[in-house]
Amino acid sequence: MKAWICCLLLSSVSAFGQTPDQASRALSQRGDLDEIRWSDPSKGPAFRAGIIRALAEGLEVQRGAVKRVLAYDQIGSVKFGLTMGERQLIAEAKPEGLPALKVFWEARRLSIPIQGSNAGDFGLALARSLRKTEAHDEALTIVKEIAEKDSDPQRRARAKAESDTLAFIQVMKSEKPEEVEKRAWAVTEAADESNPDLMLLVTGFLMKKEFAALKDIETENPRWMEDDEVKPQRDRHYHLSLDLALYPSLFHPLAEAESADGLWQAAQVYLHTRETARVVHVLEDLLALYSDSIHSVKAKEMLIPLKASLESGKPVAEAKPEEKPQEAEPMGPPPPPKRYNLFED
Amino acid sequence: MLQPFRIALLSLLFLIAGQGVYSQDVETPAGTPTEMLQAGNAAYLAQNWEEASKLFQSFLDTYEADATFADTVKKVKPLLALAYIRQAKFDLAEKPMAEALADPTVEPAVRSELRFFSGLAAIQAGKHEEARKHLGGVFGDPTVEASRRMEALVLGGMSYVMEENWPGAVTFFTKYGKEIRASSPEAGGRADILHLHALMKAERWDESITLARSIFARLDQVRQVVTYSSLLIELGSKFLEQEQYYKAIAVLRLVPLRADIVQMQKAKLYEADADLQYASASKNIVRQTQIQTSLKEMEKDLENIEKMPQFDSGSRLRFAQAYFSLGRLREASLILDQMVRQMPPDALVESASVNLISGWMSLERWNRAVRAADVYIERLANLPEAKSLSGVLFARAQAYEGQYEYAKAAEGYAEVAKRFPQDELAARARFMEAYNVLQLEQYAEAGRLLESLLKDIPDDHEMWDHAFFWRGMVFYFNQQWETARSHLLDYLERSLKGGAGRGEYVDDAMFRLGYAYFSEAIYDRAIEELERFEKKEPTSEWLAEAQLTLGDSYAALGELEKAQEAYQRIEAAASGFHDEGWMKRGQIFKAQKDLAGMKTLYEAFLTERAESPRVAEALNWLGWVAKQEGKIEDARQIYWEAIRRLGNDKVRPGLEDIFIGLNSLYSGDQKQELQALLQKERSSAESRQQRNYFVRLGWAEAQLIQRAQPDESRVMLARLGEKIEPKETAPRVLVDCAEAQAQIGDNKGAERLFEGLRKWYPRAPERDRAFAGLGFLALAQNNEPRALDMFDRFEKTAVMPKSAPDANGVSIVEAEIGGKVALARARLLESGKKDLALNLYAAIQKSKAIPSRLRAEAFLGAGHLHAQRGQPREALPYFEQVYVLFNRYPELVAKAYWGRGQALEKLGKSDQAREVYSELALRDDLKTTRESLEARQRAITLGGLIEAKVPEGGEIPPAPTQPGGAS
Repeated sequence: MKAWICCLLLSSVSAFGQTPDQASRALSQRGDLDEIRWSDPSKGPAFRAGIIRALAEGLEVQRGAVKRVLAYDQIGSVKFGLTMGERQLIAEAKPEGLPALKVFWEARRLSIPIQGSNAGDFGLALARSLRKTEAHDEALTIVKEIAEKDSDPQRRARAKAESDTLAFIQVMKSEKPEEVEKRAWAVTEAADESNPDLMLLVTGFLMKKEFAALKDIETENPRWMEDDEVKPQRDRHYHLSLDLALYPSLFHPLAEAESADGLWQAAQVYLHTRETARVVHVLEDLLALYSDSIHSVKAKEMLIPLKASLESGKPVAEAKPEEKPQEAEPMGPPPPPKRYNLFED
Repeated sequence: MLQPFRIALLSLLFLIAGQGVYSQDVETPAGTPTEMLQAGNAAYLAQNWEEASKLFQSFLDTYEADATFADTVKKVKPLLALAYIRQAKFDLAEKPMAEALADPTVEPAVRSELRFFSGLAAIQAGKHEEARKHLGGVFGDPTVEASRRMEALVLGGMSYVMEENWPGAVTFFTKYGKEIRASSPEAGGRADILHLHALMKAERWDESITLARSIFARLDQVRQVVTYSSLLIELGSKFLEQEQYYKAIAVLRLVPLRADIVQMQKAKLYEADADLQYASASKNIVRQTQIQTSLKEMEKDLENIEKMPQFDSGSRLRFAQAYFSLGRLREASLILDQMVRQMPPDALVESASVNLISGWMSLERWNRAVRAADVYIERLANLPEAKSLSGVLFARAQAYEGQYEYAKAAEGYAEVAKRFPQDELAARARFMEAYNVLQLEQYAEAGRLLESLLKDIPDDHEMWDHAFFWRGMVFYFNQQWETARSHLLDYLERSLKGGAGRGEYVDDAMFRLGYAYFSEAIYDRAIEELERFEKKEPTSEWLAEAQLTLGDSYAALGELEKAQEAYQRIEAAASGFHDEGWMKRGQIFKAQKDLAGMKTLYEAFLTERAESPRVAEALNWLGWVAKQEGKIEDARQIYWEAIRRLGNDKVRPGLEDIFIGLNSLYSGDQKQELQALLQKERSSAESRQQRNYFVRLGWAEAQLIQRAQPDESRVMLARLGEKIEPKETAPRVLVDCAEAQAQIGDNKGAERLFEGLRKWYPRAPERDRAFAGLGFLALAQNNEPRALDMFDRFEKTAVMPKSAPDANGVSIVEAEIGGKVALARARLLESGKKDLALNLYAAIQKSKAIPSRLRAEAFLGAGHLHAQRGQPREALPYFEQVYVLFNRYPELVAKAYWGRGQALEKLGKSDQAREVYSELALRDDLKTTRESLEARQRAITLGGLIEAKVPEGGEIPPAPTQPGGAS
C-alpha cells in the first residue's frame, strides 16, 4: 500500500514544479491518453492518441512515432485524459505550477470549443494560479475566453465565477474601504456557495477587518467588560472574527491553504483574548487536519508552552498573537443582514 | 449497506463487453438442419437471443447424436452457450459452455469469451474460486481485447467481494488497482469502489481513509459517485463510533453535497450518452454494450440519490457531531446553522435545529439562538416531524431573557403556554412568563399570572414551589408587606409539610419575611424572624444581609449592644456587608457618644481590613473623632498620616474625601497654612516621583481655593490635568481637571482626560460628566454626529435623577448639566428631528430642578422652532413665557420680545406686533440689546412707537393717577 502511495506521489510530482521545457516534453510523451471522435462516425470508433497541441488548422496528434494534424472539421469531440500529476496541477492551481499550466493551456486552448474538450480546466487552473500571483489581468483574459468559448456550460459557469472573484479583487484595490466592506458583506449575505473562491476571499478579508475592529474597540475601551454599551459591540466583533476565521475549514475544508490559515487566524484571536484552552484546541485541529500547512511548525512550537500553562494553571509567558500591519481605515458597521446570512449577529 | 451494495454489484455481472466475436458462416441447403442453423445464425446476429437459443438448442437436441453433424455441433455449442448467457440463463448455458471449453478445437477468441462468461456464471452461482480461474485465464491471455481483459480482472476482484473474502479482495485490488486505472479509467473507478468497500469490511480503517482521499482526487473517473459518497458517510460514522473524531472529519469533509453529486452524475450521463451515440453511429457494438451497462449503473446511482432526500443533512449532521464530540461547540453550531438555513427541511434538519439553539445558548449567543429559533419556526414548524416546536419556542424565550429583553421573553413564554397547554413545558412557560413580567415591575399582572397558574396545577406539581414562592415575592416587591408576609408564612408552612420539589426557597422566604417586617418598621417581629433564620439557615446566601438587617432592627429599638453583636457576626467572606457592619458599629458608638469606642473600632478596622475599599471612610471618622475631642492636631495628624500612606494609591474609594476633609480642620487664616502645607507636600511628592499623590495634592489645593479664587482654582486644575495619566488617576480628579481645561479653552487637553475617564472607568459615577464634556467639545468642533452620540451616552449613563418619561418617552437628567445637555441636544435635533427637539424643550421647561436660565432658553428655543416651522401662532406663548417669567435674563427677554413681534407680523397682526416692538424698545433694562434697536426701527415702520400705559406682561408698576384721570 505504501509503495502504491509513493507511486501516486511521484506521478503527482512529475507535473508539479515543471519548467516550461519539461512540460512541453511531457505533452508529447503522454502516450495514447487522449481520445478523438470523428465528426463522421462512419469513419470508425474513437481514436486514441496523444494530442500534442491545438493549432489554428487542427489538432496535432501523435500515435507511436507518427504525428499528424487532424483538421477541426474532421473532429466531432475530444477528451484529454489526465495523469495523476496533471490532475493535481489542476486541482491545486498553485503558483509553482504556473509554468506547466501555461504550457498546457497554450497547447490546448484552441480546442476549448470542441465538444468534450476539458482543456478549459487547465485554463481555469492557470487563471486561479495567476490570481494567486496577482497577475489579475492575465487571469481575467483567460477566464473571459473560457466563459465565451468553452463547449461545457458548467465550465463556462466556473469561468464566470472566477471572473467575479477577479472583479472583486479589483474592487478591493480601487474602491474605498467602506465600499469594499459593504460589497463583501453583500457577498456573504447572498450565501452563494457555487463560487467558493469568492466566498473564501471575502470571508478572509472580513475576518481581518473584524479582528482589527476587535483590537481597536478593546484599545479604545480597555475596560470594555465593565461597559454595558461597549461590551455588546466588542462581543460582536469577537464572534464575527471567529466565525469568519473558521468558515473555510468548516464549509470548504478541501481548500487546504485557506482552511489552515483560517484555523491559524482563529488561534490568533484566542491568543489575543487569552483563551488558552481554545488556542490549544484550534491548534490541535490545525495539526490534525492540515498537518502539511505552512503554520504547522509554528503551531507545534506554540502548543508546548500553552499546554504546560493549562496544566499548571499559570498564565503562559507572553504567547502574543502575530502582529499584522494595521489597516488604514477603521471599520464601519456592516449593513443590516439579510434573512439567511451565516454571519449575522 | 450490504444488501443494496450487493444488488449494485450484481448488476456488474451484466457488464458484457460485447460479443460480436463469433458467428458461424455455414452454407446449407434450405429446409434442412441447415435452415435451422441459418435461422439460428440470423437470430444470433440480430441479437435475438431467445430465438437463437431456441433454434440452436433444437438443432442440438435433434442432431447432436448424429456423427455427421459432429463438427457443426462443436461450432453451435459455444453459440448456444452465449445465447443463453445473454438471457442470463446460466443454468442452461452451463452444459454447452463446459462442452465447448472441453473442445480443444474451439478457436482461442471463442474460448476466451466462453471462459469470461463461465467466470460470470460461476460468480452468479457462488463458485468464486472457479470464477477466478476462468477470469484469470481471460486476463492472462494477451490476445484478448484490452477492455475485456480489464473487465475480467475487475470481475475477478469482485468475486472476492461477493465471497466476502475481504483480505483477498484487498490484496487483489492493491495489486491490480493501478493497472486497471491505467488501462481504463472507468474500470479503475469501479475497482476503486470495490477496493474501498473491501477495506472497510476488513476494518482496515487507515487504509480506507487513504484510498478514499485518492479516489476523491480522481472523482471524475468514478461513475458511482453516490455509492462512493455513501461509503464515505459509512466510514465517517465508523470513526465517530470509535471516537476518532479527526478521522471522521477527514472523511466526512470529502462528501459532496447532493446537488453537486446530481450535477456530476448528470454530466457523466450526458457524456456517456454522447459516447453511446457515437459508438452506435460508428457501429462499435463492443463499446456500445459497455456504455449501455455503464449507463444503467449511473442511472441506478442517480435513482439512489434521488431516494435519499436526507443525504446532505445526514452527512452534515455527522460532520457537526464530530466537532461537537471534540468539544468544538462553535464549529458544530456553525455547521448546524448553515444546515438549518439552507437544507431542505426534514427530520434530521429538525433535530439539528434543536441542537443548534442549544449550542448557541451554551455559547451565550442569545441573538443567534433567537434567530435559529425563528428559522425553525419559519421552515420547519409545519412539518409532521416538527415535534420540538414547543421546546424551540421556549428556548427562544430563554434567549430573549438572556439578553434582558423581558417583554419579548414574557411574550415568548406566553406563546408556548397558549399553543401547547398540555405540553410538559406549559406550566414552566407560564411561570417564566410571570417571572419576566415581574422583571418589568408589572406587579399586578405578574401576580395575576402566578395565581392563575397556581389554580391550574396540583400542589405536588414541580412548578408549584416556584409559583407559590414568587407569588409572595410579587407582593414583597410591590411593598404589600402584610400580604407578602402572610403568603410567605403560608409557603413556609406548606414547605415544612414536605412533598416533592418543596422547599427550594425556604431560606429566601424566611429572610424576606424578616425583611418585610423591618421594612414596615415592625422591628420586634423582624428580630424574631431574622434570629430564627440565622439559627436555621446558617449557610444561606442571605445570611450576611439578614445579620445586617438584624443589627439595624436592634439599633432601631435602641438595643445597641445586641445590634453590635449582630453586626459582628457578619463574616468577612461577605466583604461588602461585613464592612458595612463595621461602619454601623461605628455609628452606634457615635450615637452613644462613645468617642473612645469609635476610635478603638476604626483603628481595629484599619488593622483587620487594611485592603477594604472603605479604609478612607474609617480614617475620615478617626479624624472626626479627634476633632470632636478637641484634638485638632491629632485629627490633622490622622488625616496627614492617612494621606501620606494612601495618597499615592491609584484608586481608592473615599480617599479624595480625606483630602477635602482637611479643609474643615483649618479654618479662617489657617487655610493659607494648609495651602502652604499642601504645596510643600506636593513638592516632596514630586521629588519622590509619587505621581498620584502629587496629583491629589494639587487637586486638593485647587478645591481649597475654589470659593475664594475660582479662576485661579480653575487654572490650577487645568495645569494639573496636563500632568495626569488618566489610567492612573481617580475619576473624581480626572473629571474636575477635564472640566477646568474645557473651561479655559484647552479642548485638546480636556478631550484627553474625558476620553481617559470614559475608557478607564466605565462604571465610575463621574462617567456621565465625561460624556457631557465630550459632547460639548464635539459641538465646539462642529462635529454634530459625535456630539449627539456623546449626549446620548450621557443620558444613558447618568446616575442623577431623571424626569419621568413623557408621552413620547422623552426623559432628561434633572440637574444643571442635564439641562445643558438636553438644550444642546434639542438645538442639534432642530434640523432633522423637530418633534423630538420640541419634546426636549418641553421636558426642560417643566423641570424645576433645572436652573431657570436654561428653562428660559428652552422656552425661547421652542418659540423659535415653531416659528421656523411656519407655526407663528404656536410660537407666541413660548415667547411670552420668557419675558413673563424670566426677566432676570435681559438678552433672552429681548430675543423673546422680538420673536413674538415677528410671529405677530406673520399672523398679520401688525398693530399687536407694533405694541410688542414698542415695549421692547422702551424698556430701559433692554436698551443695550440689538433687538431693542431693531424693534424701535420696526415699530416706527409699522406706524410709530407706542408709549404703552400698561406694558404687555411687564412688571413695571402703573404710574400714579393724577386728579382728573390724566396719566
